[in-house]
Amino acid sequence: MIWVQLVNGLMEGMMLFLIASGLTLIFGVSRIVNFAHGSLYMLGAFLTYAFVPLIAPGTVAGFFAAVLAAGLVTAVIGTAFEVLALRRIYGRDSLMQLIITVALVFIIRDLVRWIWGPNSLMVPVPDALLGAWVVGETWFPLFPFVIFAAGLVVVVAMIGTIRFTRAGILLRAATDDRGMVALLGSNEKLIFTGVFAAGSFLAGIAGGMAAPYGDVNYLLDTTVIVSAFIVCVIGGMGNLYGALAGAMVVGLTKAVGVMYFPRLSMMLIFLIMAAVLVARSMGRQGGPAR
Amino acid sequence: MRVQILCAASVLALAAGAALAEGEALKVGYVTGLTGACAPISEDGLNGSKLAVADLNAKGGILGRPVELLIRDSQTKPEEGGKQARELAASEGIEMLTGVCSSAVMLAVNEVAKEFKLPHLAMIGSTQKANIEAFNPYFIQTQANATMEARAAAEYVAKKAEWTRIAPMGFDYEWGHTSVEAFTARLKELRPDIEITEPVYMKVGEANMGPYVTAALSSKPDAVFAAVFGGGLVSLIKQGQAFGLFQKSNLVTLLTVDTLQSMGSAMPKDHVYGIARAPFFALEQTPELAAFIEAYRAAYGEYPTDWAINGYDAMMFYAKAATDAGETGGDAVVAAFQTGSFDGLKAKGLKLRGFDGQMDAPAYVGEVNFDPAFPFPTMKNVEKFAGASLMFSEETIQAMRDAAQ
Amino acid sequence: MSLLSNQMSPARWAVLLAAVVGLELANRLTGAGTSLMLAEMLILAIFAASLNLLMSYGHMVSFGHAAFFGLGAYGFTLAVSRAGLPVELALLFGPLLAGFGGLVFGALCVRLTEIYFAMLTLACAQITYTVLFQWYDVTGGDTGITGFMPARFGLSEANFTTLVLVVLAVCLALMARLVASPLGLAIRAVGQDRWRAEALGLAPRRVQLVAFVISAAFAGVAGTLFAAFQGAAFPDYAGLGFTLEALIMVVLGGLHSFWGGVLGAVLFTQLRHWAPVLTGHWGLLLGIVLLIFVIALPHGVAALGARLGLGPKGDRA
Repeated sequence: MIWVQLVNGLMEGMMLFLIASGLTLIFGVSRIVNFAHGSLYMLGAFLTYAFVPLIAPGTVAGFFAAVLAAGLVTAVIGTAFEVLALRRIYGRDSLMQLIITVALVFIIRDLVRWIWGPNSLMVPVPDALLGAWVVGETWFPLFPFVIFAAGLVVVVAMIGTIRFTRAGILLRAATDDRGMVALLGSNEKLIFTGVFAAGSFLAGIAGGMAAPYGDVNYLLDTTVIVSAFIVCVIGGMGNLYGALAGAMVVGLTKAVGVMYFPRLSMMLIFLIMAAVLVARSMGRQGGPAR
Repeated sequence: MRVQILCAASVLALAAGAALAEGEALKVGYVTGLTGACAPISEDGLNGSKLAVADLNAKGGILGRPVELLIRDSQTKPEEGGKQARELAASEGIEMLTGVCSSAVMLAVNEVAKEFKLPHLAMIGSTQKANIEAFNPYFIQTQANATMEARAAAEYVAKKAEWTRIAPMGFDYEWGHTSVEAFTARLKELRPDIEITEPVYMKVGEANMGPYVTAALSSKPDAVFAAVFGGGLVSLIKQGQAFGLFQKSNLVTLLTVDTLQSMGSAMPKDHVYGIARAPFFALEQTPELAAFIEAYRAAYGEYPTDWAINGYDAMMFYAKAATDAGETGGDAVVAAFQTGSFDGLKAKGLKLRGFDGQMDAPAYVGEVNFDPAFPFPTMKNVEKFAGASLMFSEETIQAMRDAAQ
Repeated sequence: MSLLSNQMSPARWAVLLAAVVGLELANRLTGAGTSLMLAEMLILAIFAASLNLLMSYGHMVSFGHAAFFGLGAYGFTLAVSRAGLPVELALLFGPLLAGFGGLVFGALCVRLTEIYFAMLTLACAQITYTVLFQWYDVTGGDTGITGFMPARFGLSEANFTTLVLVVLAVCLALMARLVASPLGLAIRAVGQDRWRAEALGLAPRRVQLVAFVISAAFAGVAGTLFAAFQGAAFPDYAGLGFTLEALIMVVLGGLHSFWGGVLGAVLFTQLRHWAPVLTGHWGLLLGIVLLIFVIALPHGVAALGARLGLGPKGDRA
């Protein structure tokens, strides 16, 4: 049973990382606490619901194509929001940016309820991914493995982009020191927009990939956003590799915790987050915790 | 589209009312979760109630007065529901409160009912707290409450002689805990030989059920009893298939028509047993029910869910009580509820026990079935458990009230 | 801070007096429904003002202020329902429990700064919420505690609203006095530049902790009144929803202004009250209006008022 729980935990951790990676990237570069990130995730799930029947339904390739399409549309919507609203208030109090993302939460939630209704919707698992590997008495469900593998592909692509491309270099530079990047002549606005688009894309495909596993409903936004924040905090806000570690810690804690502390699993994760934060403050006596 | 149909239907209803009923409008405070976690089922309940209002007004309203629903969105938040109900009671001159979905909102609204001495008809929310420590004489539960439902499930499971080990699981909140506890206690009474494992609880609305299904299946149970509903239940059934839940075990859970519709063809063909409040396909097929199903499908383009039938029944019960009392509100209506006999779509001849405001409404348990007559799974071999057999005795209720003090 | 200093001109006193008289007239003349709406608005104004104290003067951004609203509500409710105290005495336990929560959480949080401070307040609030939600035997779990007292102490709608108005006035007067006091100056100094403040001999963390506890206790006053208003307490009161609403109110009203929280509370509760009356898609309307406000009013409503010469000047923190 512990092995199944490890698989459950890793799969949840991967999903959490896909969500949190976008959140932490955006924070790292633009210092925006994006409360609407969960809404973009939800949008990705609903768009996948809309696209799946249109693109080779039932096939694995068709499903991933639908997820990709949903991610792209989510990225377009995120970009539009960045350009039309967020960009107008860069340089103001960062709380203004936070409130504007909360406004987006209200808007997306209501639009989704308007378009798709309040009921739970189902995205079918591609036929080839139904079922499980049966090892003795234990069932290892197939779909979570595939999601985990697909997540790994995204992670590798993301790390590759950040390490080896010009965009990645700019992104790393901007995370370290925005002002310097601007002084060196790079277009700061373009970097911000690009990061927001990439973050939205990641949220969109995360929502899409998770969609067939459970149900799709218009309350997914709040379900997801708090977990995503926790992951970012455990890993250090703006730290991508930290987020990966944080996501795995949260996913595994939840799955294994249910075996040992069934009543505590809800609180356990917040306790870890609080412990990490308190430890952070101990480690840096006297200096600003960053 | 749906919204337009809905509007058209309510305009028609109002027009019909205006034509036939002459008196001053009889205002009903309808506080329900049109947004938030309750949104999917609240809308169904409201749709059913709207049809009841249309029917009532077509026949001259209640005591000659046209019925008007004052609909407010509780956002599925108790403080918002309490505020909306209080504003309606204080300034709109409502004579009855109904529509509430979530347990917490129901208890908040119940306080308002007590304060303003308004009959409060429960039709979706089902916490037994309202019958026990939070009871007041204005509370009227028109359906089987959560405990009765769980006890019906226990009766059903007890008859499965081949099942010897049951693993309960539930959402980690009041409804989940009371359901699991009531189920466990009743099953132990009926079948002392059955082993019941330690319950597994998960966060309300949890989407990743994998860890919890794994934990529940680890003791190799013959059946899993799940006090889970809505999106979480959909996730449980979908993910359970890949963990062998329906090959290695059976699932007994709340299966209202909305969940059956959401699951559609993704529902396993076998090994799923559902508890329901008012499954239209398993009720006594009366002309009233046939007419309701037809009208509902015409108005909203889908089959009525349990919540829609409950919404219709609640309004009709109120009309009957008010007619019997010759008054539309206050203690007279409550008294009429305690003496009358009520015929609803979900069952006939229902009676209210004034001691805890509970109607002896039945609960239904059956097996999932794919009937080609319907575009979604339904249930077969549905057993009806009479409400009276599921209710705690007055002594037990009193003991629970004392214990809660 | 100008409210109690000699900068408080007669004109501003007149505006303030007019607002109070206007509110009381609306409360008395327009029926019980309006009174209820006003009572909620004024309670949330106390809540928002308590957060504003923390944010505008202490420069501490909390993502978990609802924890203290919730603790206030439960401190009062539990004192009545479980300890059996008379209501008048129990009223003290709301702010007390909230202040105590502020002390415990604050001691952890003030070790951190900026976003990590905010995130730790979020974690503390979620832990509070989970305890209220799951500790069924004491807190009643998700279905809360009801029926422990008549709603509004049995007062009429209008009388209760007047009472809340008085409490709000007292709270604001206390806050104004605090801001103008040496302690208030220390809080502002640490908020603006903790290093310079430390160099001047202040203990930044201790000052921040004091500010945190005071703010939590005022939030507890609001929570206590809210529980009395509803005649009920639910874990929701400590949830993310109330935290976000308070943040919106403070930012909408205007950061770095004494009146920001109150103005924001008035504006936001009115928006939230009327949007569902206008449309079933109130979320969309609310979101769009918020978006426009934030983009159009860079410094909140208080600043707009100041620019038009209406609000108090010279109270920029």
